Amino acid sequence: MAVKKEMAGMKMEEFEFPVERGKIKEFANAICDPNPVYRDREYARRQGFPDVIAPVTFPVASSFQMPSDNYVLETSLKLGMDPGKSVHGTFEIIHKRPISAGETLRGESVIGNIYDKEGKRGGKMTFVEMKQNFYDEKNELVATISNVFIERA
Amino acid sequence: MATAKLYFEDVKGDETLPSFQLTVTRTHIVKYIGAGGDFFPIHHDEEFAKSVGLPSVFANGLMHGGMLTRVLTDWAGDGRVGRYKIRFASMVWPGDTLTFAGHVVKKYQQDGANLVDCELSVVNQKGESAITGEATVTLPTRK
Repeated sequence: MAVKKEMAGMKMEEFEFPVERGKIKEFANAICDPNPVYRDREYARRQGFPDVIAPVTFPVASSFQMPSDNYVLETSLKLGMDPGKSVHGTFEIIHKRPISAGETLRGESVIGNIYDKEGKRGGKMTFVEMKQNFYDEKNELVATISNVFIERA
Repeated sequence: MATAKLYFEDVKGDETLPSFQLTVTRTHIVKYIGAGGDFFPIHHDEEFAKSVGLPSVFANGLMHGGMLTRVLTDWAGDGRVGRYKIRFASMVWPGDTLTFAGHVVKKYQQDGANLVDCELSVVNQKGESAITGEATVTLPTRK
């Protein structure tokens, strides 16, 4: 089945993402990063942050706040992809500013670009971008995630 | 802001970032899944992984992709990473010893910001690439 290219740009979900201090520490533990800026509020404040800040890839953990149980899998199926033939190619995150504990972000999941490329060893590959945008209480964009999945024909 | 860890003036054009090594266990893998939230069974269910022809579970790419950010933040200081992009080159298995590294590729000013581009890598004990990455950090100046 062909991937539904007409779904490019479609907004799929919106959700609230409370950034919690305990969750930040748990995530920092899981990436084996002992940096006190992820754990110690006073240390973070001495550096000029309002509270502990989130590690660079922390917004990934917003998956727990999404309406869907497994967003990537469910969205892949809605797009007509074959999860058995697709791999995670790239991950990119853009931060406009650091994210601090105590903020509540609004997340939205959007389908990005969908395009075909000829593989190096022949055969068509379809690239599907799944994006997440995160806005703060002032409705300013603070971070964007772009994941690209590659499906081989 | 208090004193910065690193100033733009002090960055050398070909600087090497602090690297570190880690041997991956199944505990690292499930701990990351529990924190990150990707419950695709191929990363935590050994029987499922074997049923699709794999030797065992393998790590979610964002596990070592998350660990790799420390190379940047231990060097540039906290809250300085504006862009972080990684490409997943090969699978990481329990027992793999990974080396996390990076170096500066470009130092420049743009729209009033002091930017440094870096290249990053995660390589296993056989020298195979698990991740190649690129990042841009924004640094303060001394004045």
